[in-house]
Amino acid sequence: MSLIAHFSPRPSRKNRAARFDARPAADARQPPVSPSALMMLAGGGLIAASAAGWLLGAGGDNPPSRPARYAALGAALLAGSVLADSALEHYRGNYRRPAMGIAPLAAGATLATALATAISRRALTLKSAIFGASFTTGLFGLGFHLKNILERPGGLSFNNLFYRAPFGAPGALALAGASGLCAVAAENAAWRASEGTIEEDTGRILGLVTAGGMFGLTAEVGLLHFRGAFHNPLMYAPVAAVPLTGAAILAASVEPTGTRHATARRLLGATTALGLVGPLVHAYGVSRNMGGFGNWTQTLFQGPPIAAPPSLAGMALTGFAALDLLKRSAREHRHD
Amino acid sequence: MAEFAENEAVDFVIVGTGAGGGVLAARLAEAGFSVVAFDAGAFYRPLEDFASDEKEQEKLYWLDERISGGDDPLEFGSNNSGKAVGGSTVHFQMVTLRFRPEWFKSRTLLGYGHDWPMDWREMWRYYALAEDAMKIAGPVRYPWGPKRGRYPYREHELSASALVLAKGAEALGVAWAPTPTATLSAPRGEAHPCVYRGFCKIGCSTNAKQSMLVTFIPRALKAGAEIRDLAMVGRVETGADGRATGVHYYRNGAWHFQKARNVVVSGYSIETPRLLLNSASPRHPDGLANSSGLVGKGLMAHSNDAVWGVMEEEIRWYKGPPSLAVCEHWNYEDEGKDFFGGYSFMSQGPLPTDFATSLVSNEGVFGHELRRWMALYNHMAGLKIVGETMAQDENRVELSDEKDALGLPIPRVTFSYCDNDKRMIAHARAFMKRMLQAAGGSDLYETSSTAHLMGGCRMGDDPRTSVVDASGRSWDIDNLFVCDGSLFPTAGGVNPSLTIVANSLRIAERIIELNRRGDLAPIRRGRAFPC
Repeated sequence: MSLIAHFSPRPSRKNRAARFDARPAADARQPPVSPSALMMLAGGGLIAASAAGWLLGAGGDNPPSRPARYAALGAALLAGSVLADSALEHYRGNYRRPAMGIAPLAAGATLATALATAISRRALTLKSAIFGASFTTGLFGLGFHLKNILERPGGLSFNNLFYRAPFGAPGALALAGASGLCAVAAENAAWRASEGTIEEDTGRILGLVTAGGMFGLTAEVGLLHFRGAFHNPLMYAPVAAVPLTGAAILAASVEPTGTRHATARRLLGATTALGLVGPLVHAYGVSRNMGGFGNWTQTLFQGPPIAAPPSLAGMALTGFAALDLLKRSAREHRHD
Repeated sequence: MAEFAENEAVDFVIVGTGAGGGVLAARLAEAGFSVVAFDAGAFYRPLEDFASDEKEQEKLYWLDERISGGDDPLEFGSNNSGKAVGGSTVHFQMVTLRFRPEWFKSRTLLGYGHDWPMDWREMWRYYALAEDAMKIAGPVRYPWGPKRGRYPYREHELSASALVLAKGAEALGVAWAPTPTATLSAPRGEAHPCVYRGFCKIGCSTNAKQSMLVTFIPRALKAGAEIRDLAMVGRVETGADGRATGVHYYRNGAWHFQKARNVVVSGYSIETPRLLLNSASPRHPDGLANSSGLVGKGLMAHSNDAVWGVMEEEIRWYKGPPSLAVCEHWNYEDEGKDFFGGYSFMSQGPLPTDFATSLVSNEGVFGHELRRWMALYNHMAGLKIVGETMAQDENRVELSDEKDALGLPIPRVTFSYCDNDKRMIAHARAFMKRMLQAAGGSDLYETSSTAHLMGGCRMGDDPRTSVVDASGRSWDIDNLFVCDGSLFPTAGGVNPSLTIVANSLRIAERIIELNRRGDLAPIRRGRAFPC
């Protein structure tokens, strides 16, 4: 009785019942493509970007210096990881905002540029501009993700940090850009070194970028593994190794000694290994979801993200570049 | 699974395998005792046996005939009585909240009800053990009550329906929290994490839900206990000395007798008193453990009144666990109350049949009007209380003269709200209305119902005012125990399951200690309590 008195949808409120009765427009609820198409697009994107980078780089001129190659390959790994990961994660959000398409596109451009940088020394200015743009895009992404976190009830709460747009993820794109810039700087340093100038500062800067990246990645991995309650002891591995690597590379950058170099090198090796084994462990994690890979159209998106861990290896490669530069400059010092 | 012979006395017969009996079976078997746990319901395998169908899943409810009377007769089934191995936890809503510490001494500290025979600090330890055993997914910070350790698993993502509560609470300036929930937010052993399928309340078919069926029952089996399902215990037998000797149970079309050194009754607030009362003997003419006359008395239910509204945005409240956000403000705030006790309330997600039924029974809508309301289903949100009612002797379980198909007397249950209960409900309805409005809800309406059962065999420190002592041992018969929700002296304003589990863990430890010091019938094989 009271219900009827309280509520008379049709006359009182602009035909509300009819409005709710109607199904929402399909584009608001449905993903833009099927999961299979998405996988083909993401895979195709990775291949196309890699091929483009290779084609752009192939030209017969002198290959870049070793540190530049390392840093460029690091940038490529980071960008590839972001491409695949953001393509899948934003798919979960149905690419509701057009800006969500920017991340995989920017990552694709970064991947192509980074591979070209690893192969050839040409057009360094243009490459710097592209890497700079990725770096900036990553920073804007951080802003978008932070806004997404803060606009929900609870604000900066664990629930929002766990389940809203991951705060640190766009940082990986920024790191890809930064690593690319590092590759260009390393190449310039190598060129100047061949002219007789010692470039210790570049190695130091690369070291600091790597350390910062490692600490940022630790925060991201730590938060998400905490969300998973560290239910598998393997989840502690990156949380332990990555910050140690950051500290080691920081120490080696501030004061490069033989021991510090050796320590940093070993830890960078361990982090690289984690980054490369990570996708397998995450694939096992996906198989733990209901239905396993037989139900991949759901479980792949339920996580853990298979494409994310290689970013650790990417960052470590940039660290190797830093060590290489620091070692060279140390050698030059000794020659003085 | 171990099988014990009927004519050989086992250390413990446990009647019921829910949050009381299931826990006790596991802990006592793990301590080395021989245990046979009976359940009137079936031993289901959720992956094969559970359907995404509200009607089919009624097989999980205790729907045997009960005579329900009083001013506010209770309705039995979905949210207060289970009939399956694992008991009601197989279809509980997974809300696992701790009691407010003061409630354990509510008579002394708050001036109502009865004191519990233990201290809250003792319970705090068992709460932590219970939460770990069920891998509760809870918030990193819980805004109410004394400090608690970290929940073993992290909180779940809030559903749209939970966000309505969050939004409303923030608008009114009161705290809210993601609900500590007994379903996995990460893998555990062979169990998958929750897939947010949303049929939690009618039995989880992914096994993510941490009911007794997937937590303590497997532990009991592993430790050598026997679970005897589809076995209705009708009578506890007592010998010439007045002590319990075993139980009569009906299984496979015939009555059987299982000998036991100790009997634990864990049938919950209706069946436990019913069994004790039906086991009267010349030495115990008023039923077992009933020298105080309190068996069956002090029955409590939680008020489950709710406020519902229509939201502008799409909610789809059937997704995921139904109650992912909670507000315990009025459990911990005593200023501004005109009643004793407290209440919590949670976001809601009734399945379609459940929702339609509540519309029909509360508002009397039907036909086209009902259809029009159901068309709003995906835009509805609601807040529902778990409200603490007072323990009254008049609210009770008795035996009627009518018999069921097995020849057992049908229980007669009397329940009426007292004035305090009514004031509490009025307060809650008004507050939830404000909150739902503040969250953007319109066209509000209210429903009334009850949930859960507590009391009926109160535990206490005094044989004159309680049925059992702090160990769950009856004051009258030293080898007869009660271990379930019927022990509750007061109801508390939170869902009872976690407190039942924690209290059962506590009772298990006390029973093992009784045996260690030679104060228990079996005196055998007891080994250190591995806690």
